[in-house]
Amino acid sequence: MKHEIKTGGVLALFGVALLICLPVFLLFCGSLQGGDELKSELAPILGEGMDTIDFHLFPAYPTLVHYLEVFFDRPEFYTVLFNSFWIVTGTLLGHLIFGLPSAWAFARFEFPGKRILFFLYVVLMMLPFSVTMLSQYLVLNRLALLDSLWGIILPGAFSTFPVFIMYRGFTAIPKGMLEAARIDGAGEWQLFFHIGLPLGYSGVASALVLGFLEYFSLIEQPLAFLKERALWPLSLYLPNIGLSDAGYAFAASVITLLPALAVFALGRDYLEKGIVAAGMKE
Amino acid sequence: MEKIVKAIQTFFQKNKKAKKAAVILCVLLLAGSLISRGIYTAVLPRVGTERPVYRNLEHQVFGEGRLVANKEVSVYGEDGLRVAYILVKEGQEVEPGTPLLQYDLEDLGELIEEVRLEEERLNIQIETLEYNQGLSQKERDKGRARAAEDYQNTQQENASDAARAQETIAKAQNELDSYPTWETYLADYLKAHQKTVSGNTLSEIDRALLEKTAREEWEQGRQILIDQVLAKQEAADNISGQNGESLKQAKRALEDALANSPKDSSLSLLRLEREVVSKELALYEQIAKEEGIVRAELAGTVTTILIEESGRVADRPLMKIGDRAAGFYFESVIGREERKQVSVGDEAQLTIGADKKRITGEIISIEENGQEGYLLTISPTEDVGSLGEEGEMKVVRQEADRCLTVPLTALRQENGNKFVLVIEERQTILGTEWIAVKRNVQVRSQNSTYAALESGSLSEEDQVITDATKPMGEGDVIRLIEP
Repeated sequence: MKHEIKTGGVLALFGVALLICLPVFLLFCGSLQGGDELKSELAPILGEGMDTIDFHLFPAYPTLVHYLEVFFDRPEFYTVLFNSFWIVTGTLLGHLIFGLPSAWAFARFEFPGKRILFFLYVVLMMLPFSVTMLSQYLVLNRLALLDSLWGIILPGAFSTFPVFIMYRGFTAIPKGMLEAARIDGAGEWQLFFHIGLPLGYSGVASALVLGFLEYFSLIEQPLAFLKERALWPLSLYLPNIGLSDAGYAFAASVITLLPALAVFALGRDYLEKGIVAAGMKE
Repeated sequence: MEKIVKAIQTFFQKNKKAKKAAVILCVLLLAGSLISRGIYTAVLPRVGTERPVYRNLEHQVFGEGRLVANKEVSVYGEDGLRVAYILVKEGQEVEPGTPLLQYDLEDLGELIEEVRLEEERLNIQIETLEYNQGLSQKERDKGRARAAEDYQNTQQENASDAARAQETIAKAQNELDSYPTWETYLADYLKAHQKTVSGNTLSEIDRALLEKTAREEWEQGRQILIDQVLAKQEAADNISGQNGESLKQAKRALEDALANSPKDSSLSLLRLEREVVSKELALYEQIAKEEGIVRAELAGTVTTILIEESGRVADRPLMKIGDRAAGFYFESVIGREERKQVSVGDEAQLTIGADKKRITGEIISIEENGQEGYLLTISPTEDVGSLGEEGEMKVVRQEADRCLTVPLTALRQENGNKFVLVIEERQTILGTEWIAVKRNVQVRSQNSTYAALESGSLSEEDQVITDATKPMGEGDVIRLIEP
């Protein structure tokens, strides 16, 4: 049954959406503005005036020079981009290798201390980074993993949040199907690979998508554990671009958005299915 | 693991577009990364570096110069003569007797004639003056003799006058002395008058009258004699006075006659002048006898010719000849900056002549040479080369203190302050990169290659940028030129 939304409501929703999208739009317009134009608009921020900034939505003299600068004049952009990709790839692989079996185990097996262990997982999921930062630092230091990408990847690979998402996906699989497969002689690994994964794929995919979005913009852990600038990800590099390079910063930010947008676009369906599956009750 | 891989393959098989997009994206990212890196490194300046080294900075001063005579003898000519021919050239070696120049003989002959006439004129003047002076002398002698005679005569006359006057006085005095006394006179008077009176007796009144009269006569007679004596004395005094005056006059006349006559040097001057002229004449005649040729009196090299043909000799040298026997010096001119690196007593290395003979020498003097700089005079340790031969000199001096030195190409300057750029490693997003860092330095001294720095600004571990393929400044990222 479709619910028709009144025109007023549409306009209101559209307005709110526009407001939410406005920063992204400003970012995109700023990336097309030349250096002189940006300098005159952002003069108060740069300490050259006492007025408020006068940022134009549409550039007076649009130019792609900043994008050319990103692609061809700043090799460090590729370095930080690849760093971000390594962090994300390593973390997601870790989720698949360690989180996936954990989630299946929590969803389909009964073992002593399961509740307590799951509760711990949830608690750990809830803890903010600032609480565990010191302990993580000490452990990484002891393991000589400070100032290396493994110091970011390994803690993320063993993150509990994807376990939780995938768990919800696996719990949506009917028990009877698994029982039937057992009766047919399927082993546990067969159940996992042939039934669990295909049917719980949406949960896995949503965990991966969410994981990508989270770790592609990870900032706290790199800031705390990475000193060498050559290991910085995009999330640390972009804030360190000075305001005098505002055009370059805008263009780099736009380009940084693209992988996340692409992943979201590709995985939106799985994300929705995963969320739905998690909410369904048998 | 195989099942996971298969699942991923299945995923990509189902999503061909995604696979294509992912591959293209990866390729683009890789290509972009490479291109960007290529462009980035292409614009980086490539630099060469050197480490500062402790050394005693060596200063080398180079200069060109030539051998000059230790002693130069000036050749003078006779004033007024005209030079007809100059028989030598600058730089020519001469021996004693070598003809240097020849005077104009015709002009010389005229000059000799003039001088002869002058001598003759002087002779005549001298003779005349001598004759006149002789005459004058005779007159003076005569005058002296006369004055002496007059004085003598006056003396004699005065003496005789004085004697006569004394005699007169004596006579008058005798007469006075001979005058009878009153008693005698009275007695005689009375006696004389008694005869005349009757009875030959005198009364008292007659005696009194006679006495009175006798007294008057006696006194009168005595007074007369006294007056005579006085008169004679006065006369004698007058004569004495007159005689004294006349004697004084005669004496003065004699003194005047004996006084030296004023000096007259004109004769002496003329004689001197004649002597000079005679010598000049003799000289000119001697020159004429030698056909007007001036010859060298020593062995050496003609360094400078200061007169031209047809020029007339004036009060300056005709030419200068470097005395070979006195040896040579090497002279070179250096700039004001180089002057700071040399001092008297320093050893110099000389390269003389076309065949580059090498000898050493010692700097014996450094003099200002106008605005060009300083004139260095070096005494060679051996006699090599000939006068005027050109060569080069080199003075090497090492500073006593060992200092940290950098190549001059590393030294830069901004707003009057000197600095160098050293490279430092920095950790950037692209990894370890070299950055140019500015270090202010103070230069203690420098030569043509290195600069010595004051301590504290650099260390031996620093790598100083000496050259770069592109302009660069502090904070720039650089690449090292591989050795």
